[in-house]
Amino acid sequence: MQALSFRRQMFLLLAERMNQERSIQALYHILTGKKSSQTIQDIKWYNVTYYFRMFPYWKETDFEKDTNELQYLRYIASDNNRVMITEQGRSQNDNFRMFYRWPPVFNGWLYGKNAAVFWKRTALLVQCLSQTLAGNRRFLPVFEDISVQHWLKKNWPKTIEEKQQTAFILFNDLRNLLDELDERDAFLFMNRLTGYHLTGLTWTQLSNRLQMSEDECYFRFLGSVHFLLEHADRSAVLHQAASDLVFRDVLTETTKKTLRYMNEGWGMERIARVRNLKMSTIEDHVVEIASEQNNFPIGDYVEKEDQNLILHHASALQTKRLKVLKEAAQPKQLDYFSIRLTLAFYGREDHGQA
Amino acid sequence: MDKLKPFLEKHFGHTTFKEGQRQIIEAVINGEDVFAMLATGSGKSLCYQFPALWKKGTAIIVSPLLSLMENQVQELKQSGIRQAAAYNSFLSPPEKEHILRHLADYKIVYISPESLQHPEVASRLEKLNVSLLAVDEAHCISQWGHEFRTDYLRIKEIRRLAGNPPCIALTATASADAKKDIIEKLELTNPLVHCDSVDRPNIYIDVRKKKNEEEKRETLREECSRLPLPGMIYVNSRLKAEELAAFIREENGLKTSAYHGGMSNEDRRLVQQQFLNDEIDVICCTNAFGMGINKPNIRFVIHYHYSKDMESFMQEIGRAGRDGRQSLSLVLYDAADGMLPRRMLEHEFPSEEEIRMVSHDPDRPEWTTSRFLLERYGLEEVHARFLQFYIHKWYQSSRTQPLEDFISSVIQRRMEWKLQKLKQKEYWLHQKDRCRRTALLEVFDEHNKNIVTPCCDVCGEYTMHVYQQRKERESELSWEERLKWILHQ
Repeated sequence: MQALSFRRQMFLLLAERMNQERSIQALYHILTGKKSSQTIQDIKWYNVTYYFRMFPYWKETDFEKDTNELQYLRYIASDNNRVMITEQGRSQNDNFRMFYRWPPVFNGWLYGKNAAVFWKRTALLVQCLSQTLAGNRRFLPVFEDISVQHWLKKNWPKTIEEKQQTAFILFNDLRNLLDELDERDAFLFMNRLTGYHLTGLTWTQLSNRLQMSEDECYFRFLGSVHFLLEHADRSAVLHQAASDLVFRDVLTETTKKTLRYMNEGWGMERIARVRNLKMSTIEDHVVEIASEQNNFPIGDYVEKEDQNLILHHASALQTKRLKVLKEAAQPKQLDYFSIRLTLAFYGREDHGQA
Repeated sequence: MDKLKPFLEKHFGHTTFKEGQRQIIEAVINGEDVFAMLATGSGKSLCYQFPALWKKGTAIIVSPLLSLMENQVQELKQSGIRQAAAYNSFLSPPEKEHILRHLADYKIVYISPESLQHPEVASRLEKLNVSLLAVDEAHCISQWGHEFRTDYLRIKEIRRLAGNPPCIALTATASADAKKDIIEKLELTNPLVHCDSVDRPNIYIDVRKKKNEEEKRETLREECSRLPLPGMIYVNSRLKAEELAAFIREENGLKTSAYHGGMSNEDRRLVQQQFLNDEIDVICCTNAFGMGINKPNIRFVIHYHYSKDMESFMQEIGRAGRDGRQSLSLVLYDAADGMLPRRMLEHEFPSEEEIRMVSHDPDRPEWTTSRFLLERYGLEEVHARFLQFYIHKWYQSSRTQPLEDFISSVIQRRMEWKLQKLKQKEYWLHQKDRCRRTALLEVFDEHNKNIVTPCCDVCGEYTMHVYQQRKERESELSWEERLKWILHQ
């Protein structure tokens, strides 16, 4: 058996999780972090939020090449445009899992975009502290995003004592936190940072240094950032960089709009008409909302009896395929929307079973 | 009494003008147009910053480099000149709106050529008292203007709109015909023309023909093992940049990195900074690298692929030896090297089929936008901008020619011109009987070359003396040591 590239391996792991029920495209959207209602439901149903946005830079053409190659090598097969994992694929995964130490945190769904902002803030703060404390005022900032620079201006320690104090706190906090990670994860994080006379390394350079693919470097680095974000409360300085970020923007923009109408008591048809959108689009939005909100009034949309019926078959047949569930529920005539809504609502673990 | 000098000292902290600066500044203050070709590091920006502060109104500085803009504004602010701003596509809409609403309060506003074309910007400029219009990196007008930066060609329209303020065009390198082109495209009237010599006497110019790629590589390996560092290697593809960076790292044990447009912004910045900090020995780059980089101690520039014309070549070798110490320019080429630039040349323009499609589409609105072209026909962005520009031009013309022919003939002319520039470059490479420096300077209309030794491979062989001991590789820091160092603990 030959070693798979990191990307392909991750794809294969995800393919196994998806239970042979989704298309190759759906997996692509998860790995690159497409924020559509369908993808969001997928990652929740199959509980694969930690694959979301793993490789946001994966080009579609490369992806096709990668998956074709996996088919050719018989790790996966495709049936009716659904990805099936083969026996060989499964044993490849088993092998990989046996030896691979997953980073303690990686959650592209929860942290994806926020992690990028958090990283930029932290990196810029560290660079500016490092340079100013060395007495150097002229340097090229690692990030030029105006919003990040504004954040820094607002939080910048004014006096030299405050700067030294901040550097001291940050040093201790980072040392303690990074110490809990694998050596190379801490190394990756530290070597992306830039300071006085020490510039961060590029992915190619890190890949050479660690003898690890660029994809894996990127993945594990992000894992470190997610880890710091998750534990930001343990550091006054990191907390500052994270405080206004976490859990923002869980719903897509267009869904938020629909939600506002719903909160005003509008029905779905009326929203569709006013927003000039197809009914099916509004349904997508409602499903997305149901999957996010604990207090979603699911009873207004699906009868309690039908909910139970759907959940019963989903668990008995171990499937989330709509068509299968619809057939299983017969002679009761259920529509797809009810099934999707129920699955989305109960897909969240914290709802408990009905 | 001289009023300029106290002003200079008060606002910029210098006590004297550098060569040429005074003459240029006086001309701009008196409302004349200026064309200035000034060597990098000779105080180009003072030539417009000084008159901007001196004169009433707001100075508009058109600059193609976003990072350079930001740096200049920061520097101005640091030295106490607060009424400066940079307007570009990186700003958020409220930030843009803020600048536009307060335009009259600024003394200096930097703006990218793209942003200059936005209708809301143009309409504000119309009402503004513009003290002067400066066009930085003006060679972009003739080098890129026609294909990449059609916006540059529109600057003159904006100038008219703003009430014809005096205009100053600045560049570090422009050949004789580029100079003419710039003056014409910006419609400068009787401009004061100031040109520093482009000659760089401390750079030895070497050209070597090789049989094939393998030989080129072998020479590269040899040179990298003996030349003083740091150095640059220019190539014409991303892939090659990566490949050679890996090759030199492995063969010579040097710290290298590639630099090209395919890398993320973040990584590009890191490489740039590593290079400036002497953390990299050799950088392998495409021509995406260089503009706005001022590193004094670059010892060699090797062209593993030759550049598309003499001007680019001059700019690129000019990055070596800015500290005045002996440096080297080396071109390695083989017979096959001419193919790629020719193919790239063709790709710079939309294809015949695309032109036909766009020209004959009855649903194409007269005032078509590049976005429309991009989305409807799936064109590349630069091609869409190119077509948009010339479609508008056609509508403004007498339209004696069909649109398709009009555009094709523009392309035909541009292609021929570019091909001829490439051939000029190749002719220079092949000729073995004339001093390379003399021939290079003639392109820039300079005919009185000083005697330089060492000069070039035709005038006499020269081996650059390695006066700098190669450093031992420092041991790598652990993550904890790195953390300690960075945060000064």
